[in-house]
Amino acid sequence: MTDTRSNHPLDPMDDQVLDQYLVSLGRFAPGPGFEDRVMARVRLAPVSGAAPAAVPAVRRRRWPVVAWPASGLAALSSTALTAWLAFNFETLAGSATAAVIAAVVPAWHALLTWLAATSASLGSTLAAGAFGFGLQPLIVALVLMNLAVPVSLFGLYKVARPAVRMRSHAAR
Amino acid sequence: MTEPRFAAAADQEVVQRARGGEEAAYRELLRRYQGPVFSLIYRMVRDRALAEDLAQDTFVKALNALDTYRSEFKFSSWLFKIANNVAIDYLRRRQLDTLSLDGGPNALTSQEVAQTTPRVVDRGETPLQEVEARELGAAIEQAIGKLRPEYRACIILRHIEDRPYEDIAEILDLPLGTVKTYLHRARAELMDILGPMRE
Repeated sequence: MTDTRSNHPLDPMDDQVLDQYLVSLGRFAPGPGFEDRVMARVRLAPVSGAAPAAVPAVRRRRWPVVAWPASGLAALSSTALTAWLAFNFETLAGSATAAVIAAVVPAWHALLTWLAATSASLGSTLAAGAFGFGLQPLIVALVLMNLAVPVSLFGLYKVARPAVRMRSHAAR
Repeated sequence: MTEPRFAAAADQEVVQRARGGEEAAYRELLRRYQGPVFSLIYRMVRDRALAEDLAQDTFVKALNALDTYRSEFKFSSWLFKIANNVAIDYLRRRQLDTLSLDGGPNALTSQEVAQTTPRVVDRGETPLQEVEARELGAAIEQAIGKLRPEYRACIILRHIEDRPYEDIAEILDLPLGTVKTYLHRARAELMDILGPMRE
């Protein structure tokens, strides 16, 4: 029987022996299912070259989306009517019946008279307001009136745009 | 087991395919490195269940950050660096304990006990020599466990994972000279700890 004590591996504890035994230490293995547990927590990179799937998303209509087209249509129709009347006034007047002319001309004159009478007082009212409150309210009012048309047009654009848009599908 | 299509593929190629969204490539990286990473962490923290958790964290961090990996470095070094940081972070928060001679403290089944019992590899010894080798393996594992974490990482990476000094320096973020010094001191400490076995 071999005497193992005489050649105990650590007996001559030198570098080579320590190296030999350190190298001979094996690796440990994680428990079964380790790979799957890790994979369950890993976010895979999106597959390269594949186009992202598109999911249609229906946009909800909110009240501004409904109000914009309404105001836009109103602004457009009134502008178009005014322009049409201005450009075709002579034709309209020529083709109108005498009875209509008899009714419209005095009314038109009355309107002009009323405008002449009230414009002075309107102007003085505005001037009084400007002196009393400053020009700021007038400027704000003018700005708002000027904003009405582009806002209405934007509303019209919104309603003309398709209501369905494409959304990229998020990778899991 | 390695998939045939990845058998000859270098780590960089597998990483590239993982970046392209190939799940099999992720699994291949896991299969290649789960043993080394788990062993490193287990030897650092001396607790099997904890080592599994930390190894999982390591892989999740690494695989979710593959885009940040720069291919001019070795993938294994990058992964070991993450594993070492995870283990060191844990050890900084908590004191280490020792590894049982009869398997990890959380080993429940006989298979787990066998897996977690430290031992040197079989060299065709007699039963008596086998017992001695097993005891010696356990003693070395315990001795490694008593080293400072930095020394321990150096010893594991150099002698068990067979990494060159340059890799160890990169993994541990240390100058090359410091790695050599740590290894020298670690070996000296191991010999001191193992000295009584000569009696």
